[in-house]
Amino acid sequence: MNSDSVSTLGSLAALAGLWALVAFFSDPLVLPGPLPVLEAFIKEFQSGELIHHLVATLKRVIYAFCLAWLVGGLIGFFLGRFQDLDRIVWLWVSTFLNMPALVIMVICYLALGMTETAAIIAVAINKAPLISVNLRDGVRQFDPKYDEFAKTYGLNRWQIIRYIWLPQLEPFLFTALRTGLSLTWKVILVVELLGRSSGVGFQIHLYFQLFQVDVILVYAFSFIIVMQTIELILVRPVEKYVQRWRIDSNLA
Amino acid sequence: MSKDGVLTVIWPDWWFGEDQILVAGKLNLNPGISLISGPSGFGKTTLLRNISSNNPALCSILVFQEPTLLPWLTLDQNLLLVTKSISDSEYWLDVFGLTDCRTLRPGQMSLGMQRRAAIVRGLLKNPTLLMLDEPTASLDQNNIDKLVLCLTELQELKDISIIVVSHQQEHFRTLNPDSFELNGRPAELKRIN
Repeated sequence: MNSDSVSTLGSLAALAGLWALVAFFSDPLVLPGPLPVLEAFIKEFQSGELIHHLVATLKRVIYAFCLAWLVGGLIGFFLGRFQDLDRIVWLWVSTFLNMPALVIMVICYLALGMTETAAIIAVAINKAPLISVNLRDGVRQFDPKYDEFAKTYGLNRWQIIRYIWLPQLEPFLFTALRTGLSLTWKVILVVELLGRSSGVGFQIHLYFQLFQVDVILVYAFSFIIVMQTIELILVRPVEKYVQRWRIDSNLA
Repeated sequence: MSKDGVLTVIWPDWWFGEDQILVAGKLNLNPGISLISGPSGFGKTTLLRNISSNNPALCSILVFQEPTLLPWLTLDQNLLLVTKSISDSEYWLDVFGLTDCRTLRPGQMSLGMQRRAAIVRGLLKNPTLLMLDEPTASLDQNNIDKLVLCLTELQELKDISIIVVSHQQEHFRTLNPDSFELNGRPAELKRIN
């Protein structure tokens, strides 16, 4: 076991210890300790409820996030590339960026009914401006010397996107990926709480009404673990792979 | 291009706002090296850009002072982005002493190596006119010597006209270039040998 793993485990153990200590002096109905939460976790897992609702939420996160990325990414790219368009459309993006998620959700549910599509569109509309802002900033920082190189050497459109634009956008893409993903799932919970009959948000709402904080914590922690796992097994390895040229250059 | 391999390039008057920077001109280039010198800030790079954009019939490549190799690609990948011919790439890498650098990224190479690599990349487009903007700027003597040696070899191997813009003429004396000077306000190009 390397030193990173030891410090991570030590940090987690310290957090659990602190939680147990605070729980010991608190009302167990308001803040149950780690053991009751673990018991509730086992019960929810064995019943199949936990997996069912985690999958439902995860699906929504993926759909909403992909839609937000597609729309927000394209808008951000064009705003960064064409200043005239930016002058007109930036105010719209800024307006949506500051619009409360709740308002968008209510409008989508009213317009499209209490459906899965409405839930996903609501979250995508809420998150797309954030991704637009990130990519717009990234595109604005494109180095003109590479565009000049591409023009001089007659690179085709695909080569320009793959070898000139994407590598320059990479840090912004990962920032948008991280912030977008973490915010999307939090907003998804609210959408589920308001108008879905499955998912982590729905379960949290249900157990809030039953005043069972231990199960609420089970769902919250479980989804955090899912998102951390995605970060560890997908985002970080991909990031490490695409950023290997920076490491090589720093080692020179 | 005439039968004896002489290239003729032209450029128009060039203005920046209300100030004329460059006087229009015409230049006959023999195969080999033509050296354009002159004080800094008198429009040498502007002249190269104008030659590049006003002579569409020529296949001209302008190699900038900053090498503009893509830092996220290896040298091989940088070269294969502009050519499909691996053998051409290997040949010129060998001539320019960069065979051992093929798997390196620009950040792992010295500025001198990057400049030579940028010239190799330019050659892979098979230009009839190659323009080098301040190729020896900020290089140490060792890298300047290597570059001049490579240009000597290039002259022997390829029938190509090369314009070198530099305010350090002495670096290129051994190449026996046709020499020109860009001077005055607005700047005008005059032959000096």
